Amino acid sequence: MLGLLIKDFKLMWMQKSFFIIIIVVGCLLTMGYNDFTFMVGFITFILSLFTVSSISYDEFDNGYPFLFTLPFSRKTYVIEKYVFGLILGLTGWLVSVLISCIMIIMNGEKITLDIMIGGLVILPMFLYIQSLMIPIHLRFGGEKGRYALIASFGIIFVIGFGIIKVIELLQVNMVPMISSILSMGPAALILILLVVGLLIMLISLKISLSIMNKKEF
Amino acid sequence: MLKVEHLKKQYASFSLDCSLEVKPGYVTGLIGQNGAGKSTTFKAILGLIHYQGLVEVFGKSVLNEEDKQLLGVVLSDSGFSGYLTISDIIPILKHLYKSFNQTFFLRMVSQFELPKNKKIKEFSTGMKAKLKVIVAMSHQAKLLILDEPTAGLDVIARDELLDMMRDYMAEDDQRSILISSHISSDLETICDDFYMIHNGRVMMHEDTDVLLSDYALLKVDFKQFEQLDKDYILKYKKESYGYSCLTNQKQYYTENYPDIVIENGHIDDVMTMMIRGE
Repeated sequence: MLGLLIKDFKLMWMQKSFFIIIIVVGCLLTMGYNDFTFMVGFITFILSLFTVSSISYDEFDNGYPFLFTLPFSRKTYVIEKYVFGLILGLTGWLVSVLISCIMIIMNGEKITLDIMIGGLVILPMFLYIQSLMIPIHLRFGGEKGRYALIASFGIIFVIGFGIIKVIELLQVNMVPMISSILSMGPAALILILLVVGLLIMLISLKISLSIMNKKEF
Repeated sequence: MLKVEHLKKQYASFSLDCSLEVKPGYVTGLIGQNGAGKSTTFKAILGLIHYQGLVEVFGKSVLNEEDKQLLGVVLSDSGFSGYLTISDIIPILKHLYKSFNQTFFLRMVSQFELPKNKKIKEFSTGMKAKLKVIVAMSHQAKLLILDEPTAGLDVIARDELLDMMRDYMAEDDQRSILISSHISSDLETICDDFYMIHNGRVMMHEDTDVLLSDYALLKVDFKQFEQLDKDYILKYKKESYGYSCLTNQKQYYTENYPDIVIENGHIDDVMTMMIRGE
């Protein structure tokens, strides 16, 4: 696994100038909008894109067949991609939170609870996006993966819309449920979102494993 | 070391049914035209594709991570990401292979004058081929599986790589190599035995020594062909001057037909006759 992580970080390191640009753009946009949580979301999501870009690098120039003759299993490969994603996402999140805090303090403002919640909410969102992108990219590859990702957002929207319609048809009163969730407070809410995110990631990992086990190179 | 029995793979316009064996201490060649099934056989052995039949490497049908430590692989159309450099792949190999020999690796890299900090995608075909073979040999593998390792190399580089393979075999008599190449002279000089594959089927298995000593191409005119004892003729083919005939009993024809032209058999001749002959 360590060898694979080194490979992905080496490939990512090639794009170091791109990272610097992202951070600079993130800082400029943050100052422009005067919204410090924007920075956290922006950098975390851009960094998480590198997980799928590492899959594209593996595929590049028919690289998969040789890669899978190296001493690791398909399972290790898939797990490594999630680990790589988590390392990137968490590092990106921490760095961007740090930069945001510095910028807030330099701006003479205080770090409020709202800002902290805004930053923390990015973490579960990041888990959901990684969980969606990795299996899609493994199944469809770089080019088709982009279309598949757009299609999957569409499908999620349709499913969400369908659920709302069903609830309406069944005349289920959701208000007590929603208000009880909101009454839990932001910390508990974020915790729930994180646990749900981790569960979704586990399901996504299972799906990715099954995709890779079926693949032929 | 490696046993393949009725390895079957079905594609829309191609079916493979291949059996072969690589014994410990042997260098076994796999020859055949493009599309004959060589790469499919390699991929099945390496677990890269799903198949039917039996493939056993080190006595196991499914290779785990430990078994893969003992394999050195060269694939003709696939290698490390072209965006990496040799300096990048050293720590990768070091962490992937327990027995990675960095000193040997670096010595070979400088011997073949490969640039350490240039992206692999910018390498020439020959440089890429050399790097692939060095990587395969740098971690004390017991079995090398080499698909067209000398493709794109000039004569000198080819000889250097073949020497490397000989040294590699000389270091440990339990090591084995399965190698495919379209350059038959490579195989004649290094292989102990070889399999010929055509349209997904093994047409022939022979020891290289036997091929070089007992196989011959008889060149006869029409009259000589009529009088020729055809009991030991494996295949024959019509030519402008008469017929060329492939035999695996050179001695018999040398003694009994002193007037006919008899040329020593080579892998190329045998392959052409086995595929095109009647």
